[in-house]
Amino acid sequence: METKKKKVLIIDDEISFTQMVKINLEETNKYEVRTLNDPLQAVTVARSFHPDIILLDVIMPTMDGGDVAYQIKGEQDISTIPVVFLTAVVKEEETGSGEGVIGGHSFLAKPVSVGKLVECIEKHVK
Amino acid sequence: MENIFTKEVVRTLIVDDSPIDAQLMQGMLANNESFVFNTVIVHSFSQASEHLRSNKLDLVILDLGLPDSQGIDTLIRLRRENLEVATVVITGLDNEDMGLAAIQQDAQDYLVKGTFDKSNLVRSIRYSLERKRVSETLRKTNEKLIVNEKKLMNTLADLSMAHQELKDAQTQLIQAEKLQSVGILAAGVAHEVKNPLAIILQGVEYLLKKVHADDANIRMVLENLDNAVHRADNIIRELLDVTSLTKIEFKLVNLNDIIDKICVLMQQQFEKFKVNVVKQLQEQIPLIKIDPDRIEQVFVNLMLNAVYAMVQGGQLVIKTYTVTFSDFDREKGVGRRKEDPFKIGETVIFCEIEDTGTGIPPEVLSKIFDPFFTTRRHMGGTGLGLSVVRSIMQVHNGRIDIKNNEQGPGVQVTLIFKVE
Repeated sequence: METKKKKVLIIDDEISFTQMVKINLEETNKYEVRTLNDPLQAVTVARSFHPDIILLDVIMPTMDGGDVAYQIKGEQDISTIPVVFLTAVVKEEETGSGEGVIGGHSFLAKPVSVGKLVECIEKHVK
Repeated sequence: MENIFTKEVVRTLIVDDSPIDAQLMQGMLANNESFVFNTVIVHSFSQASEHLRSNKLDLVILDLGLPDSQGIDTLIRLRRENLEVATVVITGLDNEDMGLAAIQQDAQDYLVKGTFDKSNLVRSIRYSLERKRVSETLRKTNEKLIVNEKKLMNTLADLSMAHQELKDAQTQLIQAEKLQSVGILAAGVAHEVKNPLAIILQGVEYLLKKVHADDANIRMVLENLDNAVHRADNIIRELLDVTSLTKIEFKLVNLNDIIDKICVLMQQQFEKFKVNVVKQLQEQIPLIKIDPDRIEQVFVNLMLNAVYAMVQGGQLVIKTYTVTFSDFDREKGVGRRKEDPFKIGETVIFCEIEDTGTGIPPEVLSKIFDPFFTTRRHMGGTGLGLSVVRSIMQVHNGRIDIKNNEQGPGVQVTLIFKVE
């Protein structure tokens, strides 16, 4: 019996980045990926898609990734979904490689390899 | 009746081996209209010098031919005893040259024995006293001038040092500003560049999976692309290191331990370039509060620079020692003022790293800390190493100086660490 695919929502204003991550993750046959390039719709899409994990860019023109995460945490039925920040933002911690933690949230520094993404998703979604 | 209050009192010493001549002169000076001469007569130089030592005098009338001193020497010896007293010299009849010589030796006037009367003598004395007064004023003014000049020179030295300090501070400020603008730039560049890099990396990884395993050329191209992305990412990370010194974790550590550790890490490099490492580390060095990771980075950067300057082999000497700044340390930045980074009496750790490499060309010495300045661009240098080093030392309130070795080739780096 085929195991159920894990659902991944990636929110990033970079359309080509979300496209790439989608095909790479779906290539593994383990994930179903939904891309979102407008962070203002994050809560709506999260509600309807109900992902197992959200990959979230930090700096986006219409809405900050931090605010998106805050909104999601405020919504009852989606508040428990793990959020991992994917970011090119400059912080000292991010200059290191691998997964780090800012304010209780996990993050991955861009550019990130597919292997690291998979590792991170598997760690957060059992 | 004489009024001694309107007359000038002249304490006078007559030095003459002839009692008759001496008394004759004493007589000429008695009952004068303008002066009251308090006269003492002595007959030898030794008596004269003894009298001079214990009495304050205004005038000496000096016969140059004395039983214990003859000629111009008598005057020179008198001047050695006392510079301030006015002196009229009495010379023999046939020896007027002696009189001129006496004037050159700071006698105020001379008279030839047997050729003067009361009025000549008094007039000579009057002029001599006046000349002496003028020359004394001159001499004292001169002394003051010399003292003032010395003070001025000291002030000037202080000023030029202050000026140098200001210039150094200005240079550092400019550096800091440059660094800050680089930091802002770096943050922007990092964000703008990392996003496209992320896309390329994802794309490359996808293609690597999709390409047939036997298509070696395409695989090679994609692997090269993958490498290039990681290289670009590394450069950006290094760039961020320059300014991202916000999160520093201070720990009490032994600097010698850090040096030992880095030397072990660098062992391969040292062997590869045939660099002989000599450590002269002071035992029982005080612990210092530093971020060990950062300071390790400092040593790695500095030692790599040294090694790259010694590709034909050489010697790397690393010293640590403590210094207590004393009052005599006119080293810049040491003082009593609040803004002085190092205080007099403060103990610090000096660490010197000396190589025997190619040295730094003088024309680039002022640029070595500039972000992006490198002489090894062709070897992949980013020009950020020393910039990072300096930022780290600044965060630690320490100091770094880099100069070419005064003796022989190579570079000397001095690090100063505060001891809490």
